[in-house]
Order: sequence, then structure tokens, then C-alpha cells
Amino acid sequence: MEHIRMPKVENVRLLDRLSSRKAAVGTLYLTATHVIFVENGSETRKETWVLHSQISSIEKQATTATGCPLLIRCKNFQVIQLVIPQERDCHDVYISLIRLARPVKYEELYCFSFNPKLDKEEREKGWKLVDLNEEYNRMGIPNNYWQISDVNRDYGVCDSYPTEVYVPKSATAHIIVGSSKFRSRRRFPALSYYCKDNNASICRSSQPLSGFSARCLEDEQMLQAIRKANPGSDFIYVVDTRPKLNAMANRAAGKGYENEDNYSNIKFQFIGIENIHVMRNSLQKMLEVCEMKAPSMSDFLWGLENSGWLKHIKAIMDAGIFIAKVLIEKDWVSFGHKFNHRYGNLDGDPKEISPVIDQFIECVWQLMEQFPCAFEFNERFLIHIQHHIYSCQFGNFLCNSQKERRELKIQERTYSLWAHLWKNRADYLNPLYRPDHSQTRGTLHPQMAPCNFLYKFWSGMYNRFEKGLHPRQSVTDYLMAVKEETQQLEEELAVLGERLANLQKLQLNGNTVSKQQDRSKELVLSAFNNSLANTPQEYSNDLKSFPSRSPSQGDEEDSALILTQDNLKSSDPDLSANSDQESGVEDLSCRSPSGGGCLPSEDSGKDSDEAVCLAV
Amino acid sequence: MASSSAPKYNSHSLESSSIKRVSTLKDGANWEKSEEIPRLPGETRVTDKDVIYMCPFNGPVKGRVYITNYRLYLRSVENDPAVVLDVPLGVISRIEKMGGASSRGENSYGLDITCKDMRNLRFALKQEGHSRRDIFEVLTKHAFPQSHNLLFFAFANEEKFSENGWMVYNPMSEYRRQGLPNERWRVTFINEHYGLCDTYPSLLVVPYNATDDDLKKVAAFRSRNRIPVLSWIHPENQAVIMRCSQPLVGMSGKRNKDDERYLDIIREANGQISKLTIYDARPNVNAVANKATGGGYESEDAYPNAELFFLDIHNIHVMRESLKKLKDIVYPNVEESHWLSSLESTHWLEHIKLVLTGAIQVADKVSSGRSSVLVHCSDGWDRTAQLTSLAMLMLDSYYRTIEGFEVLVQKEWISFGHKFASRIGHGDKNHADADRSPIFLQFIDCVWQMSKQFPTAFEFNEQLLITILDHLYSCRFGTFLYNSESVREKEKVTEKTLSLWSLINSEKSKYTNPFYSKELNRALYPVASMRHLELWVNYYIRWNPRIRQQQPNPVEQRYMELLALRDDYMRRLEELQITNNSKISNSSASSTSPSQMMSQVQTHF
Repeated sequence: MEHIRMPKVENVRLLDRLSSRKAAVGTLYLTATHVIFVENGSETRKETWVLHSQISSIEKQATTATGCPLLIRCKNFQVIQLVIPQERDCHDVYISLIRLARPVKYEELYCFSFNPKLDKEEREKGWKLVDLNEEYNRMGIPNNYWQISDVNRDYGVCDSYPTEVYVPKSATAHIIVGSSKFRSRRRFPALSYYCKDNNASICRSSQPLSGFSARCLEDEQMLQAIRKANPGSDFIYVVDTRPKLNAMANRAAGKGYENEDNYSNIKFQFIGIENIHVMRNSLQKMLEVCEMKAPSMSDFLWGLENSGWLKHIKAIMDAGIFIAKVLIEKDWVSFGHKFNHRYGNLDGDPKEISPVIDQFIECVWQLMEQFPCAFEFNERFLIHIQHHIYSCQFGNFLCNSQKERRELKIQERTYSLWAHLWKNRADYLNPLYRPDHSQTRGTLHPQMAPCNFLYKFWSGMYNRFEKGLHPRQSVTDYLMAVKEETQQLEEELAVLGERLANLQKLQLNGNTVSKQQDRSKELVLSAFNNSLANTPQEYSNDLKSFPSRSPSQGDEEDSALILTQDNLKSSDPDLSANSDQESGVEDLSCRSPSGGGCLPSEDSGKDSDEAVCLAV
Repeated sequence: MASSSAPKYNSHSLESSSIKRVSTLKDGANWEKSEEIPRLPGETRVTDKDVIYMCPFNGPVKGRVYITNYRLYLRSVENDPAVVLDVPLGVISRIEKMGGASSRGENSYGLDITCKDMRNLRFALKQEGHSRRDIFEVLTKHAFPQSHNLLFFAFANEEKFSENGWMVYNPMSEYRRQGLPNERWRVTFINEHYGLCDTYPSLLVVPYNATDDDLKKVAAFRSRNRIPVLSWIHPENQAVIMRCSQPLVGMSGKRNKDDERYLDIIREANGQISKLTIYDARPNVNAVANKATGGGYESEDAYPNAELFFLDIHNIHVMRESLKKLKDIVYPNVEESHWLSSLESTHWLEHIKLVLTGAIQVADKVSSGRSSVLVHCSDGWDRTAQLTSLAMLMLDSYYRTIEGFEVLVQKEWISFGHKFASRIGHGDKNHADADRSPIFLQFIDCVWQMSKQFPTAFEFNEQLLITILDHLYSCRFGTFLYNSESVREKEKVTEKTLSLWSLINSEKSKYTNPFYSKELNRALYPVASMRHLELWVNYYIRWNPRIRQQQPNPVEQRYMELLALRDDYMRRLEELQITNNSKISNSSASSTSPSQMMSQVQTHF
């Protein structure tokens, strides 16, 4: 590829950020899609793969006696520090990576070259897994109040909306078009969520172009139509997710917010979620805390607080709780503004990049922590999605709108992440999930606004590449083991029941075949192999029966997942420490913090932090 | 199916809601439901009175308060469900009168009670007729029996338990479990009548090559005669953990040949390494400052075969202030706007981290460094106890069982003279005494942090830790009373009171961690990093109603349900197999019987 000035550099050192362990020496390769570091060591030849699209920044640091350091920060929070012997080579790698990490055309993205060897039919099936219309059907739409509108066919009204939008039945095309002209980027109010039980709904839109005094009859009619679509309610809430100050400032640019006087029966509410620039800076600050080698108590807590990240997460959650509460109170909500999704996959204005989606994912995680039985999926699922939002391996998160995606023929040229995740769904199941649990049924209880101290730092996400930092045992894995065992037993029960029925039949026929007997003996044996394991621990000793399968086992094409030097032993290193943790529990925790020479140093307490830095 | 087995396991959860508390309080004891209040055998009613409980979460609550010789019990009269307070008097550290006969404002006249377990209680009374005088006097008398020449409730307690907790710890059998005495270590009875050291237990383990005479000479050079003695020996490499107090070096830098030789004998006893490692738990400056009062630390000149490290753990006063600050930010209301920096400013987690870090170093030195270690602070009964007991918990899986943990507390804390009476101030009205300090609480917090990081390594659950802390203050049991074994013997504690372990061992299932999986001789090294230390919300913030919502622990509950489901399936499978096999044997003469089949499989394992 023409952007690669330097396809291969030898004698490069890969530093371990958190430990004082000796750096690994190896060869650095630049390919069209990945940066690959291969360690020299003859037996191990550990490899570290980083997708270009994961790179968020590259920093060339001052040359030292040992070489020229290059720091690569990734969007999935991996940080790689290399030392390249020659300054000239380093510069070439630097320049190449800058270009490679910022492709100018969509076609350069990995998903266009990624081929999981599925046939056309499978690919199409993958894309059909998630069907928005079906989702609306699930909510009971269309119905007497809401209908699907083709007003946006060919993206004639709003090019960043999908072609099919759900609007109140009483909103005519005239009203919709009129309203759209009064809305920033023509994003008129459209249905997001509908609650069958009480007719309440959530609509979304952009800010109105109200300036200081402008009005729009159609827009007012549009909101009126939304209110009427819930016959039981007298008013709707209009929630502006910005801080009031920001919304007011926008008026000077001809934008602004809804004036309660002009719209009949609306209740207006600001929710102070800061804008993308604040969020970007906040994440940046938090990551700086994550990168600290051995943060002191005050470094860590002050740093975390000053980053404001958890505060923003809480603000978003509070907004969600407010809106959900309103829903329960059978009222109507119309979003003042949309959440922009900004990933920065292509070269563009860095100011437009913002971690809004990271925040959403973290909000879901915080909810999971507080309602452990309410989600069918687990932490791994979220981490995997976060990884693939930036990996550009799948077409799902490309482009800014449905229109762009259709023009690029994403569905024909790339694969869907959901199909990939679905294939390995067993690994993403939350063993605690129970559809019958009170936490699961319907709404999570929003009246219990969680306190600050319940918001935790998500080490599993932001420090997920520093494996030594993670707790050594995972309760989830134990639960998975027992759950799987239970399922197996259930299946065996069914099989045996069937056998019994067959035997009864055979007996009736007075006809026994010795072959079948043998088979039934085997069955009994296998059943007892499992049943003798009384604890998960016993289970884990029997690796065969323990669910240690990692998501992409037998899925070699998935090698694009970042590989760090520490974890080639698991085929999907991306899953933080969890997937291969269980089998490793014993040796992991037996490692001594101070190494003692003969011990494998990775994951040991010493690496992991300041815990034992004093010793000898 | 799954749900039907749930209630059985519910008992693992915290006694959270106030109503449930009433019914579960029976634990071990028995009180008549017909009575107005729960009562333990031996507990007698003293007085009762109408008051207004100034609940910090729900506002004023009208109720009736009952005082016994053991507890303060309040039940609301109007609320449904009833608001109930059940507070052992031992928990009270201070009772103050608020407002005067002439003070204005609603509910401004009454009592303000400060508790040792992170809460305060306020009761408002009618202003007329000195209505609070009698209740104040009764409360003061029974909450502070020591200051009124009264006995602790533990001496009046007539509860009966199926287990006798005083049998749990027998020093001789514990040392035997460790493989002692052996050819290098001996048991000495030199302290049988506490003549050598009045704060040490009667039975001590010392190097075989040190005579009782040597020990006496060493005692003269160690603060309060607390000589280096063995706490734990590594079963494989024979490295040991020794504990003692600081050497009496003083300003002039005194030396003591006997002490130097004694430490050398200890070093030689494991025969594997050239140096003995000494961990001084204090910050370096504190150790130096101690020279002014006659203490100090082992200098390199005097002990050339030892390496000394300071572990930077602060003294009891710093810890007391830290906990006080922590209480300020979590009770009654949690400081919301700057939660993290407020938490930081208490330094509580930082202290926890230092204690854990120190214990990790001790454990690691013994286990992988194969070196014997000597741990001391100033007197060797606070920080030293924290370090040795935590290191032992990391190294020896026995201490991670319920019984083993009881032994550990009984041995390293109670028998070696952690001054529970002075640190907790049992029944003492002097709430501001400078001897008070939450050292033992810190230890339990560290254990909790470890159990969070190794959820399957401990046989006991969080409930056990909380119960221990509750009875650390309650004075219902004799376990934590008094400062040393010698005083306990004099007061005949084991004859006249009950042990907390009786309560726990009679109801073990309540304190069992369902995730526990037994493993032998595995060392645990927790990560003492800020990223993994958490505030123990279920303890420090447990009075906040928002926390109660989190109970019962859905993870444990789900696990128990799954296990029950699995057992059910296994049983049904077995039944099916038996029927299946009988069918086979009916249809074929050569078939194996089910029992034979099972034994085959078992030998396979």
C-alpha cells in the first residue's frame, strides 16, 4: 500500500507500561490493516495486533540513548509503547501510521476487506437479524395513533433520518415538512419508543430554529399531534438535554429551544448534559488517570473526580431516569435533541469526535451493576461492542446516516456485527439473567435514583489491557459453569427419558439389541462424569466440561481483535481477563508479588501496581 | 422449582428491613412473640417511655422506647410497617442531652446518642417535668457499666447454644496443626502465670535453641516485655512469622547482646537464607521519634544479619481521625457533590491500602522469599496484629474457613493482647479517650477487600464479618472483653460468659459463602491498588435506606438457586437411570446393576 513507508522494522522494543519488567524485543510490521508486533523469542513468538482504525493518537517522543519512543493510544483504551532504534525508521512508521489511522475514504476501512467466508445468504441473514420495523411492531406500532410515514423516502425531508419514520397519524405530510424546516438539520420529531401499556412514548428531534422569537405553526401542530396521540394526557414534556446556558447561547445562532408560550400544553425541562467537547475532554482526563503507573490514593480519586466522567455518566443516567419516570406517569416526552454518535472513523475535524457512545455503553454497564439480574447480556458483550464500534471490521457503525450507508451499499459489501455476536451468544449471556425476576419485568425502578457512591470506575473497560490489575476470580464464571451444568443435566434428562420410552417400546416387542445397551451405559457414565463435580472449582479442573470456550474460538478470521503479548493463550484476548481466567485461577494467584526469579512475571501483583514495590 | 428453594437461602442476606429484623433477631436466643420486645435469656426490662425518634432519613417518628440491661429498643406507634430500632447498649459511645427546659422549637429537647457503629440516634421528649432525666440516667448506667461498677451484660446472658465457642481455639492444637513443636521450635510455659509478659498468652512458641533464661534477658530489651515469638510457620520452607514489640534502643542507641543473639537464632532456625527480614509497621519518622521515649528500631550495626523495612502504617490516633472523617461524609447523608474527593480526604482507603500492602510483603517474603520475618510496631498489639493475621490469612487456607478465621482472631488478636477494652472502650463513658481506635475494624475491612477479590476463597460471607463487628461492641459475648488473656483469666470470662463463636457455629449456614471452594495451601495475593479497593458500602453506609435496596444479594441467591436446580436434576437423573437400568436388566440378563455402575464411575475420579 502506498501509505506504508516502512513495512518492517527490526529490533523494536515493546514496553510494558505498568511493570518494570524487561521490554520485549521483536519486529514491527505495518500492513494495510494492522500494526503487528512479533516478539523474537523462538518458542513464544508472541504477537500483538492493532487495527489501524483503533488508533486514536500516535505520539513521537524525544529520542533517548536507547532509541526513539513511539506511543500509540487506541480507542479501545489499549496503550502501546514502542522504542524504535533508529530515529529515521521511527519517523517513517510515525508518518505511515498517521495516514493509516486516518483513512480518507470509507473503502479503505477494514470492513470492506474483512471476509469471514460467509456466503451471500448468510451475510444477508446477518443484516436482517435486527429489523427496526419489527422492533416497532414489538412495541405495538403501527396502531390507531401512530403510523409509518413515507414522507422521508429518498431522504427528501431529512438526510440523516431513516426513510421509514413513525409519526402520529394526525400529522400530515404538510405538518411534518413544515416542522422539519423549523428544526436544525431538518430532524423533525419522530417516534423512538412507545409504551403499549399506557400509550406514552418517547420522540426525538433536533433543536428548533427559534432564535429569539421565531415561531412555526406546523411545528406547533406537530407537537400537538404528538400530544393527541396519547389521549389520556393533557401535556407533553419537552426535554432539552443541554445545560440551559448552552441552549440560550444557541439562540444567537438562530437556534434555541421551545417557548412554552407558543406551544400549547408543553412542559419544558432542561437536563444539563454537557456537550461533546466537554465529554471528550472529560474522557481524556479520566484516561490519563487510567494510564498512571501507580496512582496514589489521592491521584486516583482526585483524578477520577476532576475528570468529571462519573458526574457526566450520572447526569445522563439521571436524564434517563427522569424520562423513564415521566413515561410511567403516562405523559409524553419529546426529545429536544438527539445524541450524536461520533466515532471519528474517517479523517475529519477532531473536534467532532466525542465519546457519546462510550458513555452510553458505560451507562448500560452501571445499570447492570445495579440490577444484576435484569440484563440478558454480560459485561463481555458491552466490551465487544465497544471494540467493534471502532474496529471498523463490521459495517454497522459506519457513516453518519442510513442514507450514506445505503449509498455505500454497506449491507452488500460488509458484514454485520450482530450476526457475529449472535454466533457466539453463549459467551455473552448473563448467568444471573432471569426473565421472571422482578428486576426484569418491565421497567427498572427509576425512583431509586442511585447515589453517587454506587457509580463505580469501570476498570474492566478502561484498564482492560492491564490484565494484572484485574481481580483474580470471577463469580460470573462460576455462575456460568453451574448454569451450563444445569442445562446439560436437563438435556441428559430429556435424552434418558426418551431412552426409557424407547426401551419400554422395545420391551413390549420382546426384542433387545445388545448394541443399544452399551450405548445406554455410556450415557450413564457421561452423566455421572458431570454430576460428580460438586463445585465450580472441581468443574474447572475438568477443562473439558468447563465453559472456557472463548467467543472467537474456531473463528480465526476474527484475529483482528487486538492481541496483546500477554494473552495469546486465549484466542480472544479482547475479553479482558474473564474468558481464560477460570482455568488460570490457580496459577495466577499463586504467583508471588515479588517475582522471585523463577516466576512468570505477567499478572503478578508487582506488575499490577504499587502493592509490593517496596520489597527488596 | 427454582423459586421454591429460594427462601431457604434468603437467610444469607443482611437483616435489612426493620421489620424482618424483629423476626430474625431470634438468632440462637428465644424470645416470646407475645412480648412487646425481643428479649434474650437473662435480659431484664428496666424502663420504657414515649419518645419521638428523629430519624435522619424519614423525619420524626413517634414511638415507644424500651430499655433493658442489654438493649435500646424502639417501635413506632403510627407507622406501617412499624419503624424499629434495636440497638445493643454496648454500641453507645456517648449520650448527650440536647436542648434545655426552655429551648424553643419543635423536638429540640431530648437525647443525642453517638454510636460506635457509624450512626447517631436522636430522641426528642416532652419538655415539661424533666422527662428525660430518668431515661438519661438509666441509659448511662447500663450503657457504661464499667463506669458504674456494674458487670457487662455478657455476665448476665443466659443464652444456650448447641456449640461451645470457647472450645474453638486451643493454642496447643493450633500449633500442632502447624506442625509444632519440631526440632527447631519448642513450646514454652515460661509465661504460664504471665510472669514474663502480662499481655502475652501463657503458651508461647520460641526457637529450640533459646533457653527460658535467654527469653527473660530478651524481655528486658523489648517494650512491655513482648519478646519475639512465633505466630506461623510455613509448612514447606520452614520460614516463620514472628511478632514482638519495638526494641528499647532509646536516644543513646542502646544495644542488647541477648536480643541480637536471639534474633540470630531465629534467623538460623529455618536454615535457608542469610538474612532475617524485620518489618517495622511504622513510618520511618515515627520509629525514630520513638527513640525519645526509650523505644526505637533495630539498627544495622547491631543486627548485621537483618534487613529492616518500614511499612508506613500510621498510629492509632491517625486511624481514629480517619474513621471520624469517614463517618462525617456517610452519616446521616452521603456527601454527594464531591463524593470521590471527600472519600479521598478521609484517607480511610489509603490506610487500608497500606495495611494490605504491608501484609502482602510479609506473606510474600515468607512464601517466595523463604525468609523468616519479624514484625513489630511500637507495642506490637495493633499494627503488628493486623500484619501478622492478614499475612497468615493470605498464606494459610485454614484461616479462610469459618472455624479457622475464628482461630485466627482468637490467636493473633485476642490471646496476643490487642487491647480490645481500650480500643473499643467497652462500657466506658470516656468517649474521648485517646486509646480508642478502629484497628480491628480496619483488619475486618481488609479481610472484606480480600474476599471481594477472591470470591471463592473464603468459607464465610460478608454477614460473618458484619456480625463480628456488631458483637465487637455489643458486650453480649465475652469474646472481645478486656485487654489481655491474663485479665480475662482473672475475670473468669470463659466460665461466666458465652463466646461469640457459639452463636456463629450454631448457625453456620447463615455465614457460609456459597461460592466457597475448598483448596489447600494456596497463597492469595490481593491487589492493593486503588483501582481495586472499594469502600465497604454494606457496612459503612448500611443505615442509609438506599443501601438496603441492594439486599438480598441477587448473585448469591441466583447461584444457590442454580445449585438447587442442579441437585434436583441430578436426583431425577439418578432416578431415571435406576428405572432405565432395571428395564435393561429386565430385558437382558448380563446387565450391570446401578450401584455397580456408580462405583465404577467414582473410582474413575
